[in-house]
Amino acid sequence: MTTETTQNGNGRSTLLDVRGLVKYFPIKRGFFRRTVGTVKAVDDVSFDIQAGETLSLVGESGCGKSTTARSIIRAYEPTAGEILFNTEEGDTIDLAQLSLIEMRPIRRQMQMIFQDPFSSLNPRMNIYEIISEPLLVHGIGTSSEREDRVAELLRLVRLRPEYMRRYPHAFSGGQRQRIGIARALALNPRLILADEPVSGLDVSVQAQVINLMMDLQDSLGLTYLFVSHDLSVVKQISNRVVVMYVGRIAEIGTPEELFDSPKHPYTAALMSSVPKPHPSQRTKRYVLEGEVANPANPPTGCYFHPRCPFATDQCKVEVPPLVKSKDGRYVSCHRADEIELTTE
Amino acid sequence: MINSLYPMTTETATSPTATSEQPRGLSADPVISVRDLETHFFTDEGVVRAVDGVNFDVHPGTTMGIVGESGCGKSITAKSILQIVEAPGRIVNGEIQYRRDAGSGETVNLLNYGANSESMRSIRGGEISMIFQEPMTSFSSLHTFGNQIDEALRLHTNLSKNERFELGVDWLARVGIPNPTQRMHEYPFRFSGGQLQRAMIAMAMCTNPKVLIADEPTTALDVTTQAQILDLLQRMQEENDMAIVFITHDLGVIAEIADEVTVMYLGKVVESGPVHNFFDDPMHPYSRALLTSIPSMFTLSRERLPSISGSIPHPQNRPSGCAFHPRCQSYIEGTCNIREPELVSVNEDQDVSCFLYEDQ
Ligand SMILES: Nc1ncnc2c1ncn2[C@@H]1O[C@H](COP(=O)(O)OP(=O)(O)OP(=O)(O)O)[C@@H](O)[C@H]1O
Ligand SMILES: Nc1ncnc2c1ncn2[C@@H]1O[C@H](COP(=O)(O)OP(=O)(O)OP(=O)(O)O)[C@@H](O)[C@H]1O
Ligand code: SF4
Ligand SMILES: [Mg+2]
Ligand SMILES: [Mg+2]
Repeated sequence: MTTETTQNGNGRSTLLDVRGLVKYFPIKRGFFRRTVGTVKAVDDVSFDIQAGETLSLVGESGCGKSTTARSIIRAYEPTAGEILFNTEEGDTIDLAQLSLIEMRPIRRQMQMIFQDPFSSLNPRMNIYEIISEPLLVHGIGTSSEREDRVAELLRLVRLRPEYMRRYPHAFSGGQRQRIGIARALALNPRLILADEPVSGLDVSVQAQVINLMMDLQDSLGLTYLFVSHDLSVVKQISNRVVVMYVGRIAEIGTPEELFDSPKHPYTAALMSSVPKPHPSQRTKRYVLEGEVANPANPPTGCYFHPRCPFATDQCKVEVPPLVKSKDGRYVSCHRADEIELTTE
Repeated sequence: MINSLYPMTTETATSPTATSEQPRGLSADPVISVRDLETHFFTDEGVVRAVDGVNFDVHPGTTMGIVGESGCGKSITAKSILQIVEAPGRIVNGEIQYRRDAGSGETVNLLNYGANSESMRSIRGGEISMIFQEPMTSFSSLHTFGNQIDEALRLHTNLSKNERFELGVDWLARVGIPNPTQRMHEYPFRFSGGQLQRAMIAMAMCTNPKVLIADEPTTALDVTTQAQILDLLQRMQEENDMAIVFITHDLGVIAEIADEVTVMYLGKVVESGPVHNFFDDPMHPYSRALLTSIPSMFTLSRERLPSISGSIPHPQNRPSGCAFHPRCQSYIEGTCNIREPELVSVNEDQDVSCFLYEDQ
């Protein structure tokens, strides 16, 4: 994306600007672990995140959502691209160029929340130890200051500070996810990368966690990169949504734009596959033919062309660039301006 | 509609106007009636009442959606119908009335057959089939898909080896798997997630079942693949007048495919009725809370939804009285925490188990 997005209409400033991010995984085979191919997990992805907003990544399993998030926080080594982060001090740093040691102070400003609240908490540590660990690692505070901070964090995620000495098994899934959030907040991060944070939870407690995340965002000015395959949750929590298909971006827009007037044929197919919430809305189901392309052996041209009802000869050979349309939306489709799409 | 106060017998199930010609849909006699089903697990830590008095009817050519959150007993209910509950679980009470043949209307209580009896084995995977969330549980990784479908057909049909192979190819093609002849010779692990799910449907459908029990068959799939599978199931249902028991925790899927809905909470049915009543006029406080707390495509961006307080209790710490009372907005002190409500008809269509409707 270009620098013109640095300032958007809401007076927000860009926190993170991802440009041309690429992450390939080698496919190794045989006794000598020879590289026999590459999985193009993330293949030229560009988007920006404005301070204070929730930007979501959606798309089918394997489209590269987690890999994008993990590359940003440098859990994966990006193959190419820039990850421009505007630090608290006002500097713009390309995270892709930093050594892991240089990355360490930046990590304080970025934290990750994971899907599985059961396996992401160490069962042998009590809640105080779990939440205060990042403080300890960064050498912050005395032990009594850390205890005060943990109590404050527990109150923030609506758990009782008295629970501090209990172990994870004594908590329900929703409570464990809130403990995970408290831990992520310990260092006062600015950016939270949440990878499927409510997918493992009972549906009746998902709303508790979503509401908590929205409240914390408002009160602490947090910015979220939210990864989910649940489009209803994404619609609820997001300011903007990035639709990915086989490691590339199909479209970026607000939830309303994407759900009500998609511009990319894949967005339209995805949205119309979501079950309608009331039986009176049953219509003839739009069924996308075929299967998701293999990122180790993607098709030529537009990756979506083998399944796209609008594909032309151009689509088979030319990769459509992600371009800003007249109304300020980003779409990568050769025919975005001439086709009419609905999500009915 | 069912009423647990009046356990249904075979005689009362027949409507006065029933003729040899079977009506279709909800007006037809149920093909399966589950009555007072109780399946408990006898663990070292105590008895888990996984299914604790469940009642519902399934009608030919229609879909009964069973909804409820993790651990409420949906899968164990389904497994009880086919008597495939693993130890230490045991069916301790109830009836599964199954109408074997639409013409004569002969009805049998499946629980009178032993789990490993000849009769049960011929019904299981034949007249009543099941598909699972985890397709690998239906397949052996040691045999080709063709061998496994052959085995099912050998058990449930009189077809010759060649006919069985042809039918297998035919079903793989019908569920949309490319190169079906070649795929018959492949092992299940070569299939993608969506293909495996479709292959499992082919295997469940090839014996032309009267009842298909689908336990979260799309939960692990992307919405696009889910749409393909739902479409497939509905087409098969139309062709065969098959009844479907569709288990899910996704209310959107229920809105799309169910004719009737049964809502479970901690091993019990809290509400059941036609799908339109459930969405337009849910009666049980748990049904209402679920419908308002889960985001849908109606939800606006950045909208706050009301949430249900607390979490699902562990089945071994079952709250007294109505099991939902600690989380209930309409809780009546002195009643809900002490007495257990029964599932009763509150109007022509809906059955609810809640003291708010007790006097009706
Ligand atoms: N460590 C790895 N080594 C090799 N390939 C990987 C690795 N991690 C991911 N991949 C591959 O990269 C692609 C993108 O995976 P990724 O996990 O980012 O997808 P995702 O969109 O998060 O999917 P899901 O919704 O299933 O979580 C997939 O094809 C995956 O198999
Ligand atoms: N082998 C077992 N031993 C002990 N308890 C069991 C066993 N299998 C199931 N249960 C208990 O039975 C209850 C019902 O389980 P069931 O699998 O039917 O739930 P479910 O509604 O299908 O949930 P989910 O949505 O997670 O699939 C659970 O509380 C579970 O703890
Ligand atoms: S570029 Fe062509 S193939 Fe790709 S989505 Fe647009 S119309 Fe379809
Ligand atoms: Mg992922
Ligand atoms: Mg289950």
